[in-house]
Amino acid sequence: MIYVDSLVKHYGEVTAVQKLSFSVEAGQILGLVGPNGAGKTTTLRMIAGVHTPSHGAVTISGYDLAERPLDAKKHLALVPDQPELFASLTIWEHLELSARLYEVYKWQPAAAALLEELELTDKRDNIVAELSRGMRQKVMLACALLHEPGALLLDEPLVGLDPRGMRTLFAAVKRRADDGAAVILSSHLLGQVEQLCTCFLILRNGELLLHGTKAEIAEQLARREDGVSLEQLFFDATEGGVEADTERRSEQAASSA
Amino acid sequence: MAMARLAWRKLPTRGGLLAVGAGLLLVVGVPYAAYLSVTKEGNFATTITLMRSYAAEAFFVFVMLGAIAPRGLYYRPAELALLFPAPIPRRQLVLYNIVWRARMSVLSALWLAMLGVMGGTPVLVALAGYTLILLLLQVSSQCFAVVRARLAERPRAAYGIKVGVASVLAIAALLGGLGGLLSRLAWTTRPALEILSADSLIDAFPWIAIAGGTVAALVVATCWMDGAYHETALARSLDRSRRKKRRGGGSYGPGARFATLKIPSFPYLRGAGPIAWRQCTELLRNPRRIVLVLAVVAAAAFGAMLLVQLEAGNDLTTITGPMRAWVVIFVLCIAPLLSGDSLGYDFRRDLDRMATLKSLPVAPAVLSAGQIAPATMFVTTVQALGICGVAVFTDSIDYATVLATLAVLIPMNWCVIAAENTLFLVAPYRTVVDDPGDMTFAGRLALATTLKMVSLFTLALLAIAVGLGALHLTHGSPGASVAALSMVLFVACVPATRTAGWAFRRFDTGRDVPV
Repeated sequence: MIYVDSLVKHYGEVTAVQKLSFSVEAGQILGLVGPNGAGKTTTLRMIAGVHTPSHGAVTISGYDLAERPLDAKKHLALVPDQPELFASLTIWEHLELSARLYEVYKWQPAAAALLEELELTDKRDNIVAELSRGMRQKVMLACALLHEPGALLLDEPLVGLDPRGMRTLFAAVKRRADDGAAVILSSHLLGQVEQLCTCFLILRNGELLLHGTKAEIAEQLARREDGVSLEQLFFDATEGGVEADTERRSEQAASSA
Repeated sequence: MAMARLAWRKLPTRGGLLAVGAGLLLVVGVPYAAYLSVTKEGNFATTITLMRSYAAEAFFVFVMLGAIAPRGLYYRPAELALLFPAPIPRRQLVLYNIVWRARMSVLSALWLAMLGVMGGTPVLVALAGYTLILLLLQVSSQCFAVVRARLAERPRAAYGIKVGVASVLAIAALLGGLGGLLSRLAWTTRPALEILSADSLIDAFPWIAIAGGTVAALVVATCWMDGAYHETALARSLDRSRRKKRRGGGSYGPGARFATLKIPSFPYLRGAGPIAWRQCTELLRNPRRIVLVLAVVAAAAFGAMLLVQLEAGNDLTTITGPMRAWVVIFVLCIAPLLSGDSLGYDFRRDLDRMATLKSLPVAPAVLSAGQIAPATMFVTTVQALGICGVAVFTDSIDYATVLATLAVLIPMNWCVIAAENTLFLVAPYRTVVDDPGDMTFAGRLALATTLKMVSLFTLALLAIAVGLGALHLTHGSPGASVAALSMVLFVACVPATRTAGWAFRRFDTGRDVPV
């Protein structure tokens, strides 16, 4: 489980993230969406302990990230937006390194199963510098999943993946959520995110605009028509829709009173 | 065994020969030079006189090598994206590139002029001389790059020129006049060198005029010539940018042959073991950098031998044998530390992987120790090789002293590399420059080297003071002195590593990763 409480990040006078609070329960997949510069990557990196928050707290599987960083990090995994791996190691050696760093004993069967699941078995002894971006993305995911994290953070994981790769990644992520992991996934591919995520958090300029299931977000935006897409909700929310709808609802409430 | 087999297979390749050359120079060349120096059998003064006599020819060859190298047509990615599609005439583009690169020549000339002034050359003469020498190198490189681009469109002309040059060289060699031909050709570049031998700016003026005229003529010729400039520049620049980005970001993969080299896992050590194992594996699989560092160390030590002899004026009584050996040992110890950026198997190579490293469940100080250990091991090994070589060949240092030196060097290297990494994490920079004329990079590098030297000498002074104190307290026991000295340094490793850990913890991937 992931608890985020009043998270703030300042860069000098610029505020990248403002008072962000939310939680992701076990089994939930949260889609973190927002326009460029909304603060998605900064938020994910603060939750992963890569960035130190200016204010606020993060709790991973019951461990406060500031007070017990090593325990918290043992229960989480981050797949960064750029799959920067160790160029001279093979895929198998990456898994070995991950297993040793996260103290996973008898890791080989799990690693072999992961490679099978992510369709990397025939490449296991290849140096990662020889792999395509999509392949490296999968290797990153394999390393992240090896220690069975309770919190899985994926930053733009779909970039560089072909349709088959996306399907494989979706299946792998969904399986971990079904097994009880709390997942946060950031992406600009709203159509894809909509299929996978159970709830959504829309950010703009570092501020939380909307949070909830698609139906709840539609309700907040007063969009009651059936089949409204996440993309429509996103534009409503990020391009002035929230303020306009709030005003409209206030007016409706005033007139009905 | 696999390593030996691979080394044997790689031996006939260009890289293999370079590695053998560097290795021989380090293990045999330097100690042999030391041996010659202390046994009075050598005469380096002759070597130095020869070097001075053929300076003009050597400079000409250097200019020609610069002309062959494909650097002249390099444009940075932003220049390719914005300037190439823009409605800018080709000649202005060429001129822009020359002026941009010339900045670095002027900056470098300032540094070199300082050295020239120390050697007795008037300041303005030194500045003018070195500026024109470096400008000549830059501009000739650009000019020849355009010539090559032009010839690439005219294969017959290119073939004719190659045959012509080869024929002239063959005839000159047959007639025994190759040296004479080289001396005559060297007159084209000699005026720039002659400036430095003038006593005043007025004396130097004719040479300045000729050298300046040569530079101007090359600039005009480069702008005037036509050719597939854009295509060639684009291809070369993209290739070079790609290589630099991969090297600078540390994502430069090894060749397929090296990928098979393995080392056994290290103990866990709270996470430091796997981190160090990964760095060692990458170091082992990328031997080009090892060869580069070996070559730098060998060249530096060899240069030190020559300088020692030059300072002694060939009078071997001026500096005693052991003292000379210590000068070389000093250089052997300093050179690998100064070439740390080239090696960079620590945080300096992981700039693009900081997010991954920071998300690991390993304490920052422990992770820093894992990063620092492989570089320390490598630097110490290079130093040990050189020192043992000097000890074997010169017979002027006993083995107890060698062992004592190594006992001091290990913690010393650790502290210096930790300080380097701290500095890097506090003010990070790419270790591979994108643009040879990048003054910011040059400035940062100069600052980093200065701070590195300051930390090194502060530490050395502290250690020596402790060592002398122990010597005094123990009434002249060298063993106790060395033990105290190395103990202080080993203790200093703890705060040095913790400081690197602190710098790693405060490193912000959102703000601190340079473009």
